[in-house]
Amino acid sequence: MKYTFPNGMYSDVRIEHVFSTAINYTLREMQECKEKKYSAAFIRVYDGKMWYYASTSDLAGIQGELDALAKLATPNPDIAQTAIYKNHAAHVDTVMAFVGREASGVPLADKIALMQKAMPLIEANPYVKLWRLGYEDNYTVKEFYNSKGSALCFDYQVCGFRAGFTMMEGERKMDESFSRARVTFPDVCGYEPELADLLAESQEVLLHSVPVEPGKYSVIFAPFVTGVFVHECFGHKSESDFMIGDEATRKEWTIGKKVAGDDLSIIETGNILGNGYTPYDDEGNKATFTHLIKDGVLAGRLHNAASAADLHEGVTGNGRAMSFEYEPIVRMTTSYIDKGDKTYDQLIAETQNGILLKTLAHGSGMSTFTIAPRTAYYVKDGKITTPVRVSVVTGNVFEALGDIDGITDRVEMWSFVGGGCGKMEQYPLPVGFGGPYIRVKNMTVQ
Amino acid sequence: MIKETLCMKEKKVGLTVTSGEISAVLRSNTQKTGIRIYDNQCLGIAGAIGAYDDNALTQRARDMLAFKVPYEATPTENIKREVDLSTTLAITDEEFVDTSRKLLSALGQQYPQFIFSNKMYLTETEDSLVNEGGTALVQKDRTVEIGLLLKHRDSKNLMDGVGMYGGRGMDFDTVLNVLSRECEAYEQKADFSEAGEKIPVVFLGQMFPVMMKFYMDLNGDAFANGASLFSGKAGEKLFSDGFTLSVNRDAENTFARFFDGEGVVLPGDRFPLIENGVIRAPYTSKRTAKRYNLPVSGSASMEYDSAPAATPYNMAIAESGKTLKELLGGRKAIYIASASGGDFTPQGEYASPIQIAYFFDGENLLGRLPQLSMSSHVNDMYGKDFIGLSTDGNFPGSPARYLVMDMLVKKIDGWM
Repeated sequence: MKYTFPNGMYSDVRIEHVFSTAINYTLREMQECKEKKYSAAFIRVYDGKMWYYASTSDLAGIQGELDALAKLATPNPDIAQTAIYKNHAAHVDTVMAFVGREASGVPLADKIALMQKAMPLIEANPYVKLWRLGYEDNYTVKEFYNSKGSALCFDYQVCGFRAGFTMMEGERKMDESFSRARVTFPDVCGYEPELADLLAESQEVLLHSVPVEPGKYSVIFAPFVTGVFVHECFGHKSESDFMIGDEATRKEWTIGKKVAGDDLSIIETGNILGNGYTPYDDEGNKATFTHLIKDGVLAGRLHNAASAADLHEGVTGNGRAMSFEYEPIVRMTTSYIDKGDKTYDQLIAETQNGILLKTLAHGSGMSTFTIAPRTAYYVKDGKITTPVRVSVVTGNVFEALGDIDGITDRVEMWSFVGGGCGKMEQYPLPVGFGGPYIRVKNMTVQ
Repeated sequence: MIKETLCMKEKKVGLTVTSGEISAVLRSNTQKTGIRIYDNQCLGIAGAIGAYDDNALTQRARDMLAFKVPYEATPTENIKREVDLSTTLAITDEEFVDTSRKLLSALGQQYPQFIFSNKMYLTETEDSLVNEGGTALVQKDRTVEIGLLLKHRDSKNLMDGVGMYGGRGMDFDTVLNVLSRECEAYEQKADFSEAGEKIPVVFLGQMFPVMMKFYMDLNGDAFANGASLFSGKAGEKLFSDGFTLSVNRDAENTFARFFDGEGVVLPGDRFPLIENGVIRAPYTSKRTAKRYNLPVSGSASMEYDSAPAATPYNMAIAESGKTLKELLGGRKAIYIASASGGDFTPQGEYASPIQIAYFFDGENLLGRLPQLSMSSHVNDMYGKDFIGLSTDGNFPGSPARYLVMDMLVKKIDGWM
């Protein structure tokens, strides 16, 4: 073994070797251009009662940190009988998906050139008063070792470009942003037609949008909005660390309970290349393919070793940490709603009084979830009509899943740069999400 | 060529709380260092985590000059100041763990109907910015931060409240009182009938979600490029006489760092952005100020390996000279314990759901309200409907204050 792990305890070492790039422009002026490289580690010891953690950037001192944590803990001869111990695997594996395609091998000049292609497109629009561009990439190699014999090495990569702009016309104002993220640099290139389309549409919204008439509407979510919805509305509810010691929540979310219509299935997996790619989680457990809802029935939830032990369920590979400074907690990887059977045209045509949400600024979810849209349209008598300004769309988490009454037949998956998922202090964690167009009735629109 | 070194040291004891008990202890000791090279109106930066070779890191920063990131401002020169607030909190790591354990035990005994979880931290920091222009700025601090999620055992929610405490003290009774407040009020349900009129809403904190519009539209770039609601309105009176908004770097009272990421130290630690309702200036870094010929507000970010950028941190509303009770003047209010997910439209309309709220008489929480929503417009919230910021907080020494304004509040179906 690479390290001498203390007896009578479970312990592990997670090492990350990170390369990242960040380049930012405001208007045509470069604000930032940096490449970062570091290696650091997070160390854990568990004695059957308590966890003891340390983080360090001194890789040569890992053994010393491990020994120091072990002194705080109490050796437990029965540690192997504990559920948490059993929920940590002993995998030996190497999964290097990006070797030869690392972002670290792309010259900075190429990354700058990719960004500069956006400049004339944005500057050609007479209403854009302020714009910002950003390029980010991250190539991380993780090593994981534990006292049960795990020895893992795997990599992760995301590269992406984003453009944010503000349009003004008199007192009218429109903020919008474009983002394209992929797992390799060449796949980020060629974004220009999409950006041009967004600029043209945003101009229309700026000039012709009307304030929404507040009330209850059937709301149609575009795939990106569906992704945020599934993440905020249901994904966080599926993170089962919230259920530890909590009988009421467990009862509410009993596996097998019917929570939605027959055509709704929600899936979570770390196996999809993109923001949420996690072949092994930060506890060394392998990614799974978890049906959270299958045919409208609650079918599973997300676990790390501790939550799985408490709920007497299997681990799902969702123990994730934002960086070497944090412990793994239950987090999503890539979450999406599976396809339905309607075409997009059918979905729109059968909507009498609705609102189509194409893009959004942000979303959040507790018992009431919220979506703050950017580009939205009225849908009247089966046709998309006027662009509309909406502050926030809200709905009850418990009711919204059952209120989904239309799902289209094509799933789109999304990755992005410039943000991520937040859970308590750990923000931003990269996650992926997606889905088809969906329609949810009885949403409160303000 | 001027070399500047930023160093951020942090020593932390973190406790993870699960089901009302400490389930994990984190000990971390990190140092993040950034070296900036200013040369020929350009900036090169390199950063390191942990131990580093100064010559090698300096050379990496020099190498980054090749990408010609423009920096036309002058690095801060000849200011030396050290503020050490780390001795105020005189407890050992072990005493912190012990007191935390006793607090959790007391909460568990007094409020067995609640499940407590999340984090408690004892954090010691030392931030410095030193350059060859004769500037040496250092701030040391040591604080306790407690953020406990409250979950009622009969509730189906992820959480039913948040008990927050932050300060340079850890008096057992004070912290227990702060964390107990929402537990006491939770069981009593209050009804809410919409009167169709605006009513006072009360927020507790330092920076508030309802200030988001200022974070966006008082940005120097947006302001100077005509991309802000406030562009071209410097000198105009848009808000209430009683509304003053400043950058506030008073380290002792607001827990801010007294210098920003470009080494700017504000006279009196304050810079006014809106004064008695009149727009004065946007927030800026030295860099944005130079570009648009604006005043420097001391708002540059301080990330160890990033170029300084104007950020809306440390913006504070001026106190109105009255306690919360005086501000309310006998009117019954709604205390907002949690309202996330709301937003302003680009035009300034505001709406947000209210997840957790209580009726409030200025001293006591009178009962938990059903789910509500609130709405208004930035012009009204800080104009005719602005009531004020209190002189008192929720405990002695707290940097948090009560913000009060009238809003239209409506009922959303059901209870959280």
